[in-house]
Amino acid sequence: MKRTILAIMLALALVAIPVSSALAQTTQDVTVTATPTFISITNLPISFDFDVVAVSTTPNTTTGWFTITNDSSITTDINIKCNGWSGAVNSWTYASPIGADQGYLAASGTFGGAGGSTGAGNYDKDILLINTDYLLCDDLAVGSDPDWEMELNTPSSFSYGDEQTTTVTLTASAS
Amino acid sequence: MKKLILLIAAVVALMLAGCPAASPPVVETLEPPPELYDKVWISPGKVNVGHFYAGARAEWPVTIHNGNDQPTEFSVTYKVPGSAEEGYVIAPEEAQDWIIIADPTPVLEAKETREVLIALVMPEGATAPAKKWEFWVAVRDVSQTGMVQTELACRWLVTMK
Repeated sequence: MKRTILAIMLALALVAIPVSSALAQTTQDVTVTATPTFISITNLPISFDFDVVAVSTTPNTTTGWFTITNDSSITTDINIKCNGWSGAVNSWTYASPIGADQGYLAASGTFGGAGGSTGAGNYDKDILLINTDYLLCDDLAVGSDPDWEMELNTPSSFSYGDEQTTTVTLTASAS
Repeated sequence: MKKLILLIAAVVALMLAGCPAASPPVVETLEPPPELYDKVWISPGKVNVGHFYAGARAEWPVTIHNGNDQPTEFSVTYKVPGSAEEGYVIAPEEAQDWIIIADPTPVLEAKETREVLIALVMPEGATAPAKKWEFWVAVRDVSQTGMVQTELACRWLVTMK
């Protein structure tokens, strides 16, 4: 009989272990809900080379250079940001307005919506404040694939000739 | 002795019946459309947390699909939102200390779909940014090259008790 009791106690312990693990899950009186939706975008082409640029100019990619393919299943927002300039030895300062060794990018596109870009070719959305997002497309409808473009605002003077690079990030999120 | 065994059995039954937290959260799923098979996607787009308070915990997985033809590493990170839902306040950078990401750098096989558990754990005594606040969880394919890259974000909307 003692063995039976021991077996029951062991079973009890085995039951208690997963119960205690589960207690680390969502606190019982907290609610967590989510609707199954899918967020997916791709952008092509992935690059543009501004080549050799002159001071105080605004070379651009040409209107509609990039296309975002939006495969999301719900209305989305698309934000844009960049991580500043990086040169082999010397880097420009990433800021607006332009200055000595200081320049920035601006963008615009289609499907800007109420809070996004005002339209193709307007270059009205400065890509500024490193790692801060700016809304490019507001309430982008399912199946809408925006075209967009960028403009480089070059420094007013150059102190060095290092090639400058940056990474621009498009972030898609549910509206 | 039989009574004792019956008593223990009854206690076990009561424990099982009286511990709803033992059941993992039921995640409602939806089959992704076939055209997403070759794409990178995440799900869901929004997670709503209600009746939250300091000392509580909320969990929900973000599902990641690797539509690439080769194994791909992703980064899963806390992100300060670009904008917030109407009535919600953008969570400060410091709130990332309350977010636990089970696997911040998952490597997914080609066409693999995987869940990464996200937990919001607010320490007792901590002060919420507002009654309603928002943070994002960003997922990025780190194999991307080129000047323009993409990331996908899952929005977490938190309402305090």
